[in-house]
Amino acid sequence: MENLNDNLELQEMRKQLNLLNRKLEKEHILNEQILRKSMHKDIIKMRRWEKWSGLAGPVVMIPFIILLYTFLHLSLLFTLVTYVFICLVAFFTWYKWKKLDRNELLSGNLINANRKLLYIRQFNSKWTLYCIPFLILWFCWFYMELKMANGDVSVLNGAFIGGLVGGIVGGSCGLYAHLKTQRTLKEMIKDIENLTR
Amino acid sequence: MEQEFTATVRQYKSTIYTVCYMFSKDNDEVSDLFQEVLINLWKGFAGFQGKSNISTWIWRIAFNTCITQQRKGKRHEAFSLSTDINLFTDEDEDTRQIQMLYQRIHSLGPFDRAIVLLWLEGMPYDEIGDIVGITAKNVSVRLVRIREELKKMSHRKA
Repeated sequence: MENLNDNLELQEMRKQLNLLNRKLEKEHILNEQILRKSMHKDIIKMRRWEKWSGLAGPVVMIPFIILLYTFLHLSLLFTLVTYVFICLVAFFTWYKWKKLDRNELLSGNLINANRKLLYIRQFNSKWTLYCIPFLILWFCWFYMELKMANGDVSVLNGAFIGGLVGGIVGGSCGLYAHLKTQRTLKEMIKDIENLTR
Repeated sequence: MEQEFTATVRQYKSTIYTVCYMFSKDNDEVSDLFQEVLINLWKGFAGFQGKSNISTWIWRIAFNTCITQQRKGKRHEAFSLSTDINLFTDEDEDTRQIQMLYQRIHSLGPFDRAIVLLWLEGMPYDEIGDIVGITAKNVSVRLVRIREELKKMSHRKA
């Protein structure tokens, strides 16, 4: 391989870069305003909040779980399985955002960032693949539990319709968010591949 | 921590400015990118904990910020930097030389821009590879390709 140092263009460019560095060393560049704006404490607070807010889901869902168990007279096993599932969703969401931490991506190199994005995309697809059958089964189980616990047809119908509407709305929102995230991840992966080609 | 951060960015201000300059089209964009790099450095400063060399970390954040910002294409209101120079419009001999460097580097793709800039700074291949995420062998292969591209460019100009 030819020695790169022999290349005149690169030699000249190195001299020009030294010139630029010398010129910049004489300049202040940084000032109080720009430093203060960059070191705004809210940035760090916001990061902490973003990181931990996902885990608040199981806490928020406690009243719903109590409602299932006490008012609708559903079995303890069903209530526990539902709660464990909610905790798993919260944990995996937190884990996913932890992996996708913008600062970690920025302080790593682009190839590693690409690997992480690919991993998250596959992880999302697998998670959806397991979630959909589970939710269908859960809903059937929910209906049977309701039927066994409530002889009153009006209560049964009310709870089932409520659950069905909630399930459809929640499921649609979840699916929309999932598809949007997958699309964004695909675009980012494609961009990084183009940049590093 | 704030004092430590200020001292660090003061020490590496030229490095950050050079990267931002090579990824910008005008002085406003340089200020915008410079501020974005500082924000990202500050966000990661507490978690840095000396996992790698500080200069490697700064180069990585600066490159990744400039590349991702270019992808997003968004610009927000930025404070002006304290500098009397405008490397895009000044016409003295030194600036003309720097503009030649800018034109050569800016004509390359963003990834190659990063590699050539690091090589010009005198960094060894393995360190360049560590920053951009490829092997030292790949760095040398890419540099050969970059050199050929630069040669073609100067032939076209001649």
